[in-house]
Amino acid sequence: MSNDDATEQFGQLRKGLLEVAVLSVVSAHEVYAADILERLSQTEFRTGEGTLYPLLSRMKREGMLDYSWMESPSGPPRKYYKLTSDGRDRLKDAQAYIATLTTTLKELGGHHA
Amino acid sequence: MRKVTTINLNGRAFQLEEDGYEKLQAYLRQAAAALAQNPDKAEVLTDIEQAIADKCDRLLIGNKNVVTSEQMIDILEQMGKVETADSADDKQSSQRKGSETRQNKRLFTIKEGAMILGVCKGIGAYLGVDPTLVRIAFVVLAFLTQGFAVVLYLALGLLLPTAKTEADLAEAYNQPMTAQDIADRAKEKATDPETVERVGQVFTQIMRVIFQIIQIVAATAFGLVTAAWLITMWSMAFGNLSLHDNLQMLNGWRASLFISFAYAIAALPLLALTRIMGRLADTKTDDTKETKLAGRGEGVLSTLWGLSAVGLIIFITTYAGDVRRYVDTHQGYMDVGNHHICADANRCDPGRNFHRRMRED
Repeated sequence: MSNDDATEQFGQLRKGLLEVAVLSVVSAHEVYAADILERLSQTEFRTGEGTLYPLLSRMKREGMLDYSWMESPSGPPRKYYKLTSDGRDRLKDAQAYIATLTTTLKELGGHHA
Repeated sequence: MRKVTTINLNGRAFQLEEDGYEKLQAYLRQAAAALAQNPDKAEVLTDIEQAIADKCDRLLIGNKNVVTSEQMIDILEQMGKVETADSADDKQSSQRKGSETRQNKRLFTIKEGAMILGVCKGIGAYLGVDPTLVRIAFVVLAFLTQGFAVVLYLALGLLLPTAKTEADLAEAYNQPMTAQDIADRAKEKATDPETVERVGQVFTQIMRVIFQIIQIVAATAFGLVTAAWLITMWSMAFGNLSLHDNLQMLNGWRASLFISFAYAIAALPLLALTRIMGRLADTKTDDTKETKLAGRGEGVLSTLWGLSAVGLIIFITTYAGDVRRYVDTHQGYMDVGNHHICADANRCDPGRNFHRRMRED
């Protein structure tokens, strides 16, 4: 199975994990939306503003993210996002949970073999 | 050469080809609809506009100052359809939409795939029939009514709302109600084993079908009476139909009023019957027999009917004298002062003449 096929087939899976992907990108350093898209574009989580913006708005509403306005070299000021402590906890929890899930999946396979 | 429109995206002006402008409009409309449940809707929309503006900016380098339609389509593809990230929101909005579309059925004009104004398409969607049939019916009606249907068409085209969003379209197409569909539904219900089981009585099913047949007949009669009324009104308005000189006082708005009263008296009970039979035949509502028989609409209908009846009676008593005089003149009589005399012996009825004179003496 090629990577593109996987992208086609596991849409729901990626959709669910996109929040974690965004948390991961923002955890590295303060970024603005286009940076996040740029960073994701090279991965399985590549997406567009149409998906990202509503997600960012919800994550901010739920207290995982916060943003501050900063002047940009060209054009209007931009929103730079950073993780809140809640967001950091959330990322840690998610990572731990994904690790658990991966282990479980491996074990499930192991019983079969 | 293509026409260009100037747009304002979050405070910045761009020149955009018209096709691209329409695509952008559709995109933003969809975005607004998708974000309807989002408390930060305005903020997200502003961000989205800003992102589109940034992308346009990147394209306008060197001596380029117009964003082409192709470029706009490309940009919107990059943006991706706006989706609500929150699955709970999704569920809520789809549930809400679902319940709305179940209850609402509205007459819209539908511009997509329309021949002229989309009236026929809208009516077709409303009735659940092929728009081509509606168009043919309209053309035939236009000939039969000597053009009145064209006026009606234009009026509908101007007055009806246009189905813009998917939700509108869902409403426009919801719950077909033609005679054929009612019959189909009746058949479906009658043969659906689950329904039969739930209701538990074949008798109820038979009654339901009978109600539906009465409903179809009443609806058809209502349609015919309405068509006759509209045609007569049109004929009066455009002078094709005119009464005898002696009855001129009955022409114009008086005659329109008279005919409208008569129409209301005939048509409103048919409409009420259609509605009541529809409710009786509907399995979904759990209303009691009483509420089924007398819905809220029936109060309005019966009030209108009463007013029409009173109007008709007043009309008849007011103008009965004029009509009698006309009939008399027609039969050779005329009034001179207080005397009712025979002016044309060839036409006067001797017996009646005598009777009249006896009474007047």
